[in-house]
Amino acid sequence: MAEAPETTLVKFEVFRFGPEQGPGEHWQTYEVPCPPDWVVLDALNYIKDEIDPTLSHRWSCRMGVCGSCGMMINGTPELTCKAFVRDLPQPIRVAPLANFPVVRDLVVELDSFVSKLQSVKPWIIRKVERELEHGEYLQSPDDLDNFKQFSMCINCCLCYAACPVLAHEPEFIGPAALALGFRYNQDSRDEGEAERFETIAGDDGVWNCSYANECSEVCPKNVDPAAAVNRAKLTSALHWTRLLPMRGAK
Amino acid sequence: MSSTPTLAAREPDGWWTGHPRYRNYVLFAATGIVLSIVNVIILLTVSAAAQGAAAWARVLGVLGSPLGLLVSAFLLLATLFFAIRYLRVGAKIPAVRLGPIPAPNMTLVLVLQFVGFITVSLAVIVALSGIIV
Repeated sequence: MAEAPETTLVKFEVFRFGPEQGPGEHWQTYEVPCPPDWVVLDALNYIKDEIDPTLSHRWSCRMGVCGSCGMMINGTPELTCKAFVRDLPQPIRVAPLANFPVVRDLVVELDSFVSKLQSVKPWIIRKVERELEHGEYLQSPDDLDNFKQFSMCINCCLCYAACPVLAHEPEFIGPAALALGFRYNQDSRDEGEAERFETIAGDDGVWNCSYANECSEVCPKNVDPAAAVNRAKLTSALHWTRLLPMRGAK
Repeated sequence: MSSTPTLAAREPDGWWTGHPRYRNYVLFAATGIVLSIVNVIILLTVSAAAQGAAAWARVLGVLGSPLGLLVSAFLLLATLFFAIRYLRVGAKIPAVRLGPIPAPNMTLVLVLQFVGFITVSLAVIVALSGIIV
């Protein structure tokens, strides 16, 4: 029988808020016996299973794919399933994502994020839909390379928690949604750039970005939303001045 | 929208003093003030050059004083900090396909930007040295 791995007692300070417990929040300390290969999500699950079943947090895949378990770890937005306990200074402070309203404990409300995603129309828009019998829309590898990076977003919202503009201007559409809009504008199959223009280049759009680059620093998928947002500034400026035949290239 | 009672959104802990990356960003933004000061000094210097030898000598005296040199050194450091960060993150912007023009390689853009910056800076230094000497 295999020996149990050696554990280290690690101190966690976890943000707590419950609407039924009153308006305030507080920090609760837990000591968790952590094996060397544990990530913060393992420790949170241990707290919920073994110490305090009232703790609420979101998670699903445990492998950096679903984007559910984003939280502030020692003040930095991270996926808790990718943050190894052994790499973090103690006490490890775990809080809900910044710049989002908190529903309970470590769970944030994502309604505004979903609305912002929808506002950029993240789907292929065609002026005239092709009949099914005429086959699929073909695309070259170069055309795919042009936007593929920006389609790797897992909607984990770490970029929203890192964005200093969003902290002060909650109506700003934000990095992930703007990057997604840009991704579709760069897609050779799409003809919806003009439809997205008012949103992407509007009052709450790309021009609100002050290029802190924080969104790209924290992105766990290397999507580089700052690049997308700032390239969208360039393309929207050119679109506005109509200096280049943007649509003709597609 | 949901009617769930929520706690208002929280800013990142410590804001710009809390993390080196935020601190760098705020310092970068603050260099806008420094660049304004640099522009004012350049305007005053050019204006003095137009007013004759006495005014020009007075400006050179001020700029060459220990305090003037200290201020200039600070302005140079701040401007270099601004330029390096701007060129580093700014290299991402031109790497985009514009209509029929394919996207250039981002690394190439980055290198070309720094080569251009260093070349122009050296050219300005050489030109100004020729005028001053």
